[in-house]
Amino acid sequence: MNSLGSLIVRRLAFAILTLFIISVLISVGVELLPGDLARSLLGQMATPETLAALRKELGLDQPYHIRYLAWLGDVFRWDLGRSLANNILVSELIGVRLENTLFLAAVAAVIAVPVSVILGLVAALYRESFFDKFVSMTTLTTISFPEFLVAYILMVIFSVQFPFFPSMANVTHDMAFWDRLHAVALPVMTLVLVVVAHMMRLTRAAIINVLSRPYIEMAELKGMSSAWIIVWHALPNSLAPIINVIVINIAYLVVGVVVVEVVFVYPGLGQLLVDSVSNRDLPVVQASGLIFAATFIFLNLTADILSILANPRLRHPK
Amino acid sequence: MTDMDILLKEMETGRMNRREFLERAAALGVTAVAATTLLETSAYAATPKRGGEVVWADGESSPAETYDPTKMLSGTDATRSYQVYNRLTNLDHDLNVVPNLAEEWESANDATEWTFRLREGVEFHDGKTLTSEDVLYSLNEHIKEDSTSPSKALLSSIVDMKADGDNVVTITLNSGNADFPIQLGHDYHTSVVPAGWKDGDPVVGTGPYKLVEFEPGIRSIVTRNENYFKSDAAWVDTWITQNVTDATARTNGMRTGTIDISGVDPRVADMIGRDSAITVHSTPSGAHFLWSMMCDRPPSDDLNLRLALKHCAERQAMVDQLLLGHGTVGNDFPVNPGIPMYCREIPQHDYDPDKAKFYWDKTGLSSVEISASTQAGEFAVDACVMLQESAKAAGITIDIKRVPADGYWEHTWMKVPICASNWNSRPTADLILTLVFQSDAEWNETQWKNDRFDELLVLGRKTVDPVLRYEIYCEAEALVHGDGGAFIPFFMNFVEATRQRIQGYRGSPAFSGGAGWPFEDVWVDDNMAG
Repeated sequence: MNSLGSLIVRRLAFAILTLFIISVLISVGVELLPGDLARSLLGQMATPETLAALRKELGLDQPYHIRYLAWLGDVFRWDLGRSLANNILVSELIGVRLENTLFLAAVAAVIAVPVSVILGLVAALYRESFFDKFVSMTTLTTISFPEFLVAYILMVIFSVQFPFFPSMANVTHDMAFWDRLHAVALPVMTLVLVVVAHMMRLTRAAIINVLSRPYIEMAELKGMSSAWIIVWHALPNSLAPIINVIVINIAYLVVGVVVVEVVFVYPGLGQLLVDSVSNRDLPVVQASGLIFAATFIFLNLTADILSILANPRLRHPK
Repeated sequence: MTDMDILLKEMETGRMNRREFLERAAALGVTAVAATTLLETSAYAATPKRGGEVVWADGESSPAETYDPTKMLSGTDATRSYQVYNRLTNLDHDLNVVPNLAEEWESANDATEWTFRLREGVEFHDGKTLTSEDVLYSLNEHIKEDSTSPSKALLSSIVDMKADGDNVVTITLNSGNADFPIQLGHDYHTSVVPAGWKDGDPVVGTGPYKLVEFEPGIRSIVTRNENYFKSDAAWVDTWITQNVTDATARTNGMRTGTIDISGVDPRVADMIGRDSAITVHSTPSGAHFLWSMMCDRPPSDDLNLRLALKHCAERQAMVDQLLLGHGTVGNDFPVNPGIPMYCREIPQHDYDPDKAKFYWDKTGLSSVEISASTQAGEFAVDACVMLQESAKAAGITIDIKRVPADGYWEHTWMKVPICASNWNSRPTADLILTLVFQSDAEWNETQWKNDRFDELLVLGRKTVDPVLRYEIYCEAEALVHGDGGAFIPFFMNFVEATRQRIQGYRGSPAFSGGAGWPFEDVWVDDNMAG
């Protein structure tokens, strides 16, 4: 297990370097966009005089590398600074939204992951059957629709025609857990429909790939039932790709759901990031960008560790 | 007592809801229309009731939303300011100026000196009594040296302000302005905060509602101010102002009842109105779309080009197709018929390909480029396409350049010769003409400069006699109409939808969402839920 420990340490070091590079890229990227916060806040109503006054107030009259270094210094002291747009602490502004985003992603993942893995296994077991084709067709259909359309269709059915769930996923911090679940029911359903196809298809493909191996034939000759072969022999040997696709989809659930947030008026991090980019509110963009990047890095690391644990051969690279 | 009277009585005492009423009335042979009219004219409809919670959805959302009047910019900010603050004056639905924090006012010296007498005994939400110091402080925050207020330019005509005791404020302007109280009543930035208040302090106003919870870009919650100085206003207990940027989400919220009041896209208004639980309010306003043709650079510095284009638009068709009728035809000056100083004598610029061709041929151009993005209105690009099509009959080739919405006001507007633009409604002719057409105005987007027009503006502002005033504004508006660079094809209605339980809602021609009036007028009747 020593090699695993050193792998984690090495990967964490790389993660920090990656985050640093990303912060530079975000900073340069926002700088390259035309206009600044003062301009975008005042919009059509800007005058040269009010622009200059606002820039001075926000510190935007400083060159951008100086502003970046100042921000970096603060980050090393665990201070993400204040939002330029409304002077609220970034940590405070992002805290609630991050919690909401993670809650939505977690609920969607808890449903989508088991459903898609089981569907994938069953589809592999009864491959080329009617069930297999039906599942493939249904999931491919839901993934082919843009997610906002899936959202609207669910809304029309479950909120307008049969009012089971609210059309706006209005969550507040003092909400009870079940009320919260009820509020996010439709966005969760949308996300599940969107991510299931990818995970289910890959699970099915990975299993079928393994099924052509000699040891599966051996197991068949031993007289094992095909369901047992898949669970006992095929699944452990195809875990690595399955874990990877699950992780990619979980990362997507955290960072890629802005459209669903907008449609269901869900106060998550994606909406904040979009608003802040159009406002050129750099401290908020930086912080959200780093959170998204860290999510990807952390989940990828988890995927690698799990793959290694699931496959002893990877622990001893030649 | 007839059977209908009995039914009405049942409704009034709350023993029957609206749907039951209509069904029973139908059973008596009364048509739904007649029954609804009866209902609306009965005592039942006329008496507002206290209580209830109303969800107000706003289509904009920004983390920059604020309760600081010097930083407010969006429509949502305006909504929130109407809830918790008051201004010195107010406008009624006919755009007359009426008392608010100021009880009465008078002007002297050709409308350069204005004296406002404040209402006595008005209290802020924290119990402090309103004095003239608070008014001076609030106005000064906009005009002081390093102010970043969007109202700085408009209020910069103030040269001196002083208090005379606790309840009298005298404001001196650099030139006469007979409309000054209207300006104060209209501009939500002039809300009064306690002296010394800074952004970040607890939000305290004199308004009908107190702030309970505020998350910028998400929602705010306010509850009734039991101490409000108007006793016959502010009926609702709680207003939740919710940011809902997605138009479809707003529509669905209205239909499912999670939203009670919301602005709606004119293009879907009629469809939403088919839902019997929803009422659509469409109010003609001065908000307008335009093509800004800059008069200081080629090719639009050529009057022939400006006149050619002004005769190319099928204006009524644009209102019908782009706004589905929720608008009025424009005539290339920014004042709409609902405003007292609208000049009725100026002939309408009609669609006239022959005339357009006549002017076009004099320009010697082969084609002309127009830039547009959705920042100028959801329909801005469609409007360009309609113009492009109708201009073909005059032999005019229009190239449409679609530019990114992000940063539109910086990279395109007032940079390229011709681009799409828009302006919100203003309650007086002077406000919009001064803001956008006066030669040295910051927002003179067309860079049209006319000495006679500038003279007329100053003259019109200080003239009190309405007949004389009308003549002055007529001449000024005619100059903009004929010579100016603003090509205004239509005015847009303010379109809002309310659920049936919302009573007393009226749209305002001066500001979308009823210009703050709903927070005083609206009451809830859950019997009308049908």
